[in-house]
Formats: sequence, structure tokens, C-alpha cells
Amino acid sequence: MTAYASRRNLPVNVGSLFGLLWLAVTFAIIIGPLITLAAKTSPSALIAAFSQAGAAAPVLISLGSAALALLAITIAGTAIAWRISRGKGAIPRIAELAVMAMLLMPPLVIGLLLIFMAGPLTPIGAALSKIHLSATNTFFALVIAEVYEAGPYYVLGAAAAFSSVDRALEEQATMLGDSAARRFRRIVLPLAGKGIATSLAMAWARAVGAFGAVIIVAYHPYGLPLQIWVSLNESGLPAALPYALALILVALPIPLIMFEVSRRARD
Amino acid sequence: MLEIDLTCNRGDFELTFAATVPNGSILGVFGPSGSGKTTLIETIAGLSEPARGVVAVDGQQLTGDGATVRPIPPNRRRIGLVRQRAALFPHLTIDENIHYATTSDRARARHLVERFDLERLGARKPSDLSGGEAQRVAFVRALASPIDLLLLDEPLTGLDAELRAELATTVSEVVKELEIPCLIAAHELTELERMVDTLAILHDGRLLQIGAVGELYAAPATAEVAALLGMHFLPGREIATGKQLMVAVHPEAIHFGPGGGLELPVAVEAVRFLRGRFEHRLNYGDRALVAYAPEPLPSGQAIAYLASMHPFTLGGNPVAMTPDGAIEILR
Repeated sequence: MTAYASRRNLPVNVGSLFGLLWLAVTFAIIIGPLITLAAKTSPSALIAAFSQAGAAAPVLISLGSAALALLAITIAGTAIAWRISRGKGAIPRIAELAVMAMLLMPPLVIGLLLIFMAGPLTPIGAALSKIHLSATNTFFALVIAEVYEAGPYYVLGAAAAFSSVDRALEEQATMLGDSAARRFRRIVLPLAGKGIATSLAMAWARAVGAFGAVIIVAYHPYGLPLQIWVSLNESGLPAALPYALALILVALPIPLIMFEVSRRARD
Repeated sequence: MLEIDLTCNRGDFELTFAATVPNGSILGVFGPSGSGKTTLIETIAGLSEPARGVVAVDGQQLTGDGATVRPIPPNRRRIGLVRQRAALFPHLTIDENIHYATTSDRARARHLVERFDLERLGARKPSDLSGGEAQRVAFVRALASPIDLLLLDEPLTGLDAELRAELATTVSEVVKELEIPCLIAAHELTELERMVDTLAILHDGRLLQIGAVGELYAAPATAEVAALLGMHFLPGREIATGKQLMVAVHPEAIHFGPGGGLELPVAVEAVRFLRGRFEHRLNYGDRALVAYAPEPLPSGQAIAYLASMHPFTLGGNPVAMTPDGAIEILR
């Protein structure tokens, strides 16, 4: 009897059994931290943590700042992504390199550069203070730091999505009477939508979890990442865990919705 | 009516072209790759701007003058464009593709769907269609709104011969029905001969000759045109003066009798059956010729007759046709 025949006589296909095991291990590795987190965070600790006065503030601050950052990223980032994808000449290429540099730069360095650019002692900082804004240690500063940390993820993803749309389709839409805005809405957006949704999901997760630039330019007010850091430093691991769970709950829904949107667009 | 008289520049490449296409008439633009066909189509469509010159449809100027008159943007030119790739919108059904233009006309589209034999495909997505079906949808989509001009850029390239013939007939009938001018560019004569009223020969950005297809074959203006029309060249001599010539001969003008013409002793190298007749590969000296006959000839020596020929000077200029016998073909 050959090895092949004997393998076929096993009640379960060994290959698929191995595959299943591999999948289970991978899955366990990926969601392991989540399970540990849930297991370590007792419901009573959670209730205790969030029943203190002002305990919900970091959640609201994170949600609010990330929502504003995502709005700014969508409005400005879509235009920049379009130029990177379709623009001719040097400027779009330089813009692409700049965005790429932002993506690759360590967030802590982004934070330092933001201080050098718009700190209180700079011309921009002075101009902002005239209209009673400050780019350091305010809610506004938090939003800015999140835009810088999360924006490149959206811009590069959206540019790639725009570039994937066949130019011949846009040409046809033009010949069939569409203005630039109309064909963007009827052809480009539907066809690039999947990539744009995924990029938005990534940008949201980055914005909510932004820490490196935030700790430098916006130590106050605390969003969730800063709250985790502060709790960890002041009271230790158990105090930080409820906020970690909250951060995951805040960060996950939008990406999951976006992935579902893109899955439906694919079908 | 379409009137074109323009010069376009693209880097080092320059294209000059002038032609008039009446309503219901089809102008074929024939030339090898890189001759400027696509530049011409894109300039008429408004997708690129000419360096100078005019494109006008029904007396209305579409191009700008570089100063006070602005060009009409492509989306307001009322021009249908079909290219080699159907470029159907993949996220829309066939019906939605056909009615993509807000100006599309229900009754007109229904009629076209019938003419192009596309009934019952309406609810499908482009990915479910064969190449031929997709191209037919592209034609219907381009024609479904009341357009003033139809531009075709190698629209039949890559389709099988049977469908090509069928589509060529349908398109030329529809253009006549709708009474719009049509310009079709292709690098294969077979794609054009069946449907065009007038043929323009384009080479390296220059319009070499324009006229009825028969006229072009009967009197190619230059040796370049003769070569592009697929003619063979043989060395010749004007008997009276002894002047050296090139003689262009179209394969269709070579026969094996009965009937007259200049005699040419040839060697039959190979014969094969091709589209209802026999293609003969001949050698005349060291030159290879092609000729067709209803019956196959045995290999070996044979006498071929040149029913018509076009003498050119060695520089490529036409020589006034002299009576038969005044030219001899050299070996």
C-alpha cells in the first residue's frame, strides 16, 4: 500500500487537519491579547473604574478628537490623494514623498516637529493665540496631532484606490456628458470606494490610538491612550486595563463597519 | 457634417490633417501604428488640444482659437467614442451602461439594442459578457444619446472575423440611418474597406492621400501610399527613354489568365486555400509576390499577368501611365 493510499484511508484528511490546527494557532496568537485583556479585566474593576467622577472623559475626548481628525483627514486628504494619483509634474510627486515621509516618521518625532512648527514661541503659535487657539496642550492640539499621525494612512491608501480606477472609464464618462465632479461621483467613488473605506478604517484606528505625537503636543486633555499611560504610571497595570478595553471598543467599530462595506462592494 | 483642418503637436511628433465628412458618411483613417490616428481622434473628441486649426461639426466650431474663443469641453461636444477596449462601467448593469448619459433616449436605445442584437443582456454585468458582446454594448452606449459625430478608434480590432464583418455592416447602416458623420481609424485595411465611403492614408503625421477606396487603388498618389495599400514593388524601365522605374502591383491585379496584361514569368512556390480561393506564393527573380486564383496551380514555372500597375520614379513620385508595353519589368 502506498503512502498516498494509506493517507486516503484515514478518517480525516491529514492536510486539512493540519490546516485547521495552523488556523487555530494563528487565530489564538492574533486574538490572544484580546482574550487576556478581557480575562484580566473583571467587570467589577470596570464598573469601579468608570464610576469615578470624570472617568468617562477620556472616552469622550478620544471619540470627539478622532471624529474631528477623521473629518479633517477626509476633506483635505481626499483632495491631496486625488492630486497624488492624477496630478502631472513635480508637485504631486513631492506631495507623495512628503506624505510617505510622514507615514514613516516615528510619531514622537512628529510631535517634536509640531512643537517646533506651531509651539507657543513660533509665529504660527503666536498667530493661533491671537484667535485664542493653541497648538499645544489643548483639545485642538490633540486633533492636530491625530491628523498628523493618522492622515498619511488615509492619503496613501486613497491615492492607491484612485489610481486603480481605469482611466478609460473616466474618458467614456466624459464623452457621455459627465463633468469632472459628476464622473467623480458616478465612476471614481464607486470603483475606488472599497480602498477608500479601508483607508478610512486604518486612519480612524491610528487617530484613536495616537500616542507618540500626542504625548508631546497634547499631554492635556487626556484621551484614552494618555489615560492608559498615566494610569499605568500612577497606579499600575490593573488601573490601566479598563481604559485599554475601552480603547479597543472605541477603535474597532468603525474599521469593522468599513471592512463590511468594502466586503459588500466586492460582492 | 464634420470639418477638420488642424495641426497637433505631441513632443517631437506633429500631425497635420484636413478632411470633410458629410452626414451619414464614414471616413476611414488608415495608417500604421504611430501614424497619428489616436492623436487625431483625441483632438477631435476634445481630449487633447490642437496646436492650431479647426474642428467643426454642423458648422459649429468645437476648437478654441487660443485667445478669445474657448474650446468646447469634451463632455459638451455631443460626440460618441468607441475604442478598441469596450471600457464598460464594471459596477453598472448593461442597461445602466447604455443609459449612462443623462441625454440617452429610451426609444433610440431600444432600437439600437435590437440592431446590435443585445436583447436580454440588460440585467447582466459587463464581467458576464464576451468580448464581442461588450463591444456591441459600447457601440449602443455611444449611440444611445442624440450625438452629432461618431468617432471609432480601432473598434473591431481583436474581434473574430465573422463578428467583425457583421459589426462593420451594422455600424455603417446605423450611421446612415442616424445621418451623422463618422470617422474610423484602424491599422488594418480589412477593418475599414467594408464600411468606409472615403479613405484617408496617414503616415508619420502626414495625410498622404484621401479619396474613395477605389480611387486610391486605381491611382495611389505616391509609392508610400502604394506600399501601405499592400502593393508589391518590381523594378521596371520605361522602354522609350530607358529610365529606371519602380512598378507597384496589387496582389489582386495579378492573375494567371485568361485575359490580358503584362506577362511575368514566375515560379509558384506554395499554394494554400484561403477564404474561398487559392493564395499563391510566387517568386519573380529574388522578389516574393502573392497572387490569388480560383484554382490552384502546380508548383514550378508559370506565366502571371499584371492586369494593372502603377509606375513610380525611384524617388516615389507617380509616372503618367503609358500604354501597355511601354514599360518593361526587369528581373
